[in-house]
Amino acid sequence: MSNITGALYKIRYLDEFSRKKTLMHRLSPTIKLIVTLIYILLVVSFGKYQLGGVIAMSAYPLIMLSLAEMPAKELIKRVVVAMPFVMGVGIFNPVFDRDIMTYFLGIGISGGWISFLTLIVKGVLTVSSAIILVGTTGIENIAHSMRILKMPKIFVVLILLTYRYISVLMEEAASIWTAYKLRAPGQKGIRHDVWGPLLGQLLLRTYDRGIRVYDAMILRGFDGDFRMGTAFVTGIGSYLFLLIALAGFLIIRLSVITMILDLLI
Amino acid sequence: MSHHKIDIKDLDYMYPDGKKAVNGFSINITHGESVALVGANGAGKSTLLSLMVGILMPQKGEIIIGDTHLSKETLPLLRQKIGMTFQNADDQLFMNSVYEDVAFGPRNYKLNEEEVDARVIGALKKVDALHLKDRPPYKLSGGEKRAVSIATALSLDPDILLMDEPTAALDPKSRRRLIGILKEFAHTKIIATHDLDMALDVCDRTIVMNQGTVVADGRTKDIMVNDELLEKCSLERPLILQGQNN
Repeated sequence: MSNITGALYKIRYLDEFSRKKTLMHRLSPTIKLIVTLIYILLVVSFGKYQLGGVIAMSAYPLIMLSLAEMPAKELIKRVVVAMPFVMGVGIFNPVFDRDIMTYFLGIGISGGWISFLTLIVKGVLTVSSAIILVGTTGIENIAHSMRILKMPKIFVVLILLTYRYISVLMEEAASIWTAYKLRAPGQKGIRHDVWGPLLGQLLLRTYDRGIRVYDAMILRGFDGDFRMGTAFVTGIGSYLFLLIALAGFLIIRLSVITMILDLLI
Repeated sequence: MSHHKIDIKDLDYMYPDGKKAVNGFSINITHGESVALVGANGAGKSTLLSLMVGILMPQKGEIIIGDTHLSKETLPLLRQKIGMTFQNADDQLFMNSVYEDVAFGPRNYKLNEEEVDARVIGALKKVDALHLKDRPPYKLSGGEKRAVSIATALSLDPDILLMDEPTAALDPKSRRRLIGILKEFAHTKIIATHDLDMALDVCDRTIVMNQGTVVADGRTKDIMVNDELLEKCSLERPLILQGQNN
């Protein structure tokens, strides 16, 4: 169960990290959210064979990581969790797209492999930028920024409660696993015939717990809007960050560097 | 308008599975009273507390807080005046820091930030937990979580406090501290509990529930020595009174 308990600490690590006071943490949450959304859109906008361009976009998370003083190890651990889903989406590209597009050390590389790699890099970059955003801003501040940007209340509450549900789910999963393990000594993993009841229990228990947490929120006046203490102050530093980031993105997106990298690859 | 008194008349609540948890329940609680709600597991105590804050809505009967009838329309007003703490303090603490958690209620009622700060500091001081204000709630001990969960209710400056098993899962020292804190509150209090020693210490009045209805209502000192009644409701004398005569 160390896996689930460990994962729980990992989730909370981001919450705790978001309370640091580095340069990146002090920037306006709304500006950081805007920059991250634009970054994700630009990364996704690259064509499926533009591997070079996508690689060039990795400059942003690398710089953010360094400015936020976030240990790369912590980021990588979280990005790896999302990778199986990305790989699942692109796994058949090399099978269906076999036309050789380029040669690397004399070996022919098919379009399928390039598009597969491009997809993976896109996944790594978009997930990294989102994790860095949560780690430097905090989920409540992000939710508040979303409302400032006029995103629908229901959508924001859904994101916020889903985020909270992850830790509820993990806590319940940890206690179910402990109870199972104590009565199933010497077993590796969970026997397949009890997966059904166990997952059913998990769903029902987390549902009940989720309802109780929600009750606690509405009893204290929660009406769907997450109100943070002080209004966000968007200082000159934040505007400067916005300008530099956008200029950087555009240069990479449109520049010759990207074209050269793409031609080389 | 005073919100301190509670009038419950002929209340019924049945869960969707057919279990009638509250059955013709009626009580009247006046300003500043400290009332223990006791009874065996499944007697309907927690359901009654949930009905009083509108987490569940009664199928029959009425609840009047102050001069206001509890209904969907009056819930926001009444919830500001009734603070409730849950059996499991973890369910009540969901923000990243104790301060943010205690400030959650006042901010939802759109108080200005100066007032919010004063409320948070005041509530944390009352439960002797000001030193915890920057800590993440999930890293607190059971006793600290309980104190903070009470502060989250107090920050709305309620007239009435409802508590579900406040001493459950506390070590003896934390329990004793909590009893000290509860004795200092001037609020109207309703405490659902199995801890009859705490009830004896904190509450002048005790209501005994059995199968969703009131089977006894009187002075705590009298009820806690009524062995026949306690036995009938699967309860026992408080430890401090065991071995004593009536």
